[in-house]
Amino acid sequence: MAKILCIDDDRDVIEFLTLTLKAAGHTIETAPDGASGFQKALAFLPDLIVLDVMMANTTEGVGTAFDLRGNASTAKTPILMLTSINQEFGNAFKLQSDAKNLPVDDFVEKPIASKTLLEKVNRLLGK
Amino acid sequence: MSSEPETLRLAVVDDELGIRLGVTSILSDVTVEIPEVGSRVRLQVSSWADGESFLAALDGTAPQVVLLDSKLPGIGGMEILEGTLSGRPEVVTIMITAYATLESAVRATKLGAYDFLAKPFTPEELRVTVRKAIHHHVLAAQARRLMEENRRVRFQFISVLAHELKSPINAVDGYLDLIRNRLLGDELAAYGDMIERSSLRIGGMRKLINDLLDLTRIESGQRVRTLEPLELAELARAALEGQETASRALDLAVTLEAEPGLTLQADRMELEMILNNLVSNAVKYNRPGGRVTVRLARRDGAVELEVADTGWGLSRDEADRLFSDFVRIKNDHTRDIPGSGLGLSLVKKLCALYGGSVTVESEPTVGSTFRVRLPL
Repeated sequence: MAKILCIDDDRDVIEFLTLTLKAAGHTIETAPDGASGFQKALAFLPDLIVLDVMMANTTEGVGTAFDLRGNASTAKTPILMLTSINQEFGNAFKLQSDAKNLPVDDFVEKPIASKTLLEKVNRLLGK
Repeated sequence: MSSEPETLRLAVVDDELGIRLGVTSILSDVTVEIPEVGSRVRLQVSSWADGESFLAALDGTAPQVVLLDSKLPGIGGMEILEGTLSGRPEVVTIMITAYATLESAVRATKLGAYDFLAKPFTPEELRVTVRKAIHHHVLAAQARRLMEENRRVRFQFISVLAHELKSPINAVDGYLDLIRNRLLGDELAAYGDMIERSSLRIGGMRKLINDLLDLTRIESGQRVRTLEPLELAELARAALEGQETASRALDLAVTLEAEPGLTLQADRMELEMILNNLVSNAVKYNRPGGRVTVRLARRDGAVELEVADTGWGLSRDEADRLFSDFVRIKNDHTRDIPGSGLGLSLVKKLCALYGGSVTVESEPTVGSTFRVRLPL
């Protein structure tokens, strides 16, 4: 089973992620903001990072994704980004990861369904 | 008043060389003061003998003010006004008409000209008309900037509001998903925390909506205000009583020090909002076993209300941002405390209604004191 770090400023989202991923047998660490999440990633060296995009400011998660990519210890760790982009801009909007603008591996749209979350997590963990 | 004058471009389009030379020489040393925005304007004059060459140069550096002859050899001034300049509200046009007929002036104005000058005109008439046009240009530009800024602020507000409203829904949705899938088994008791948290988040959302409605009512001036003499100590006591359960849970020592007989002519609901917001903040951001002190006194022709807590306090930078919409200081001590982020912004707007103010003095780790001054 994998080590997963969840970074989100909403304690109830963290609770949801923790319960869901623990029930699937993973080991979970959490952080409430980008800066402490980055520090935790370096210490915990997770197999996967679940990262919220909008925390203290609208794009805090994007900055954190760049920090993670820029550090040798976490440069290759898959990042699953939590967004509400479709709620924000309508369902026509498709997000694409892009090394230059948004260096993440996949997205989960809020509200998160546990089934979708687990599918994406398993895919990123290579199962 | 700024010392360095701003330079505006003025173009004169006229087939008469005499007009072009005259206008250029008369306006080259004109300076216009615009006290409303504290600026000073000089002119850089360019001149064109026909409409075609003027139009060709327009897309490079467009002038802010145009003196435009209505009768030109090729394309006429009225056509330029109608076809091009009327679509550019940032360019102020002064029409030069050969005959001071009412018709041509009315027509030019309808097409969007700001003013007109009838030939022959004196240097003084020219200066007066151009001064007026510059004045208009600067103020209109300022108004456009303000409108743009308002739109931006409004968009920002709505975006943050949408996020604040969606967060609790997302949280509750997540818990419902786990309950629906029986993640913790079939016993309802196992889901007690999730249900409790869901209900808390919905409560927070309701509070946000109520604060938002209060804010909107105050800003729109729609609410009927009833000003009456209010006994301040009584209102403060009620605000403290409203927080009794919460302050008991944190084991806080609560004191009210009020000058007796202090009354203020005010709207009851507005004063209650000020007091309730400050007192509930002082309670919820306090530390266990801390103190909340409310002081009411008359000072320099105003009522001074102080609400002091022994919470974690604020940095200078946090204190500066605190009274804006949706600003919540998030750290390990405050992250899980529910709040709409609108309370203090509301207090600030309410104080302004009375010509008063709200300020905060704070020392990190020691506590904060919020001070409201309302003129008597």
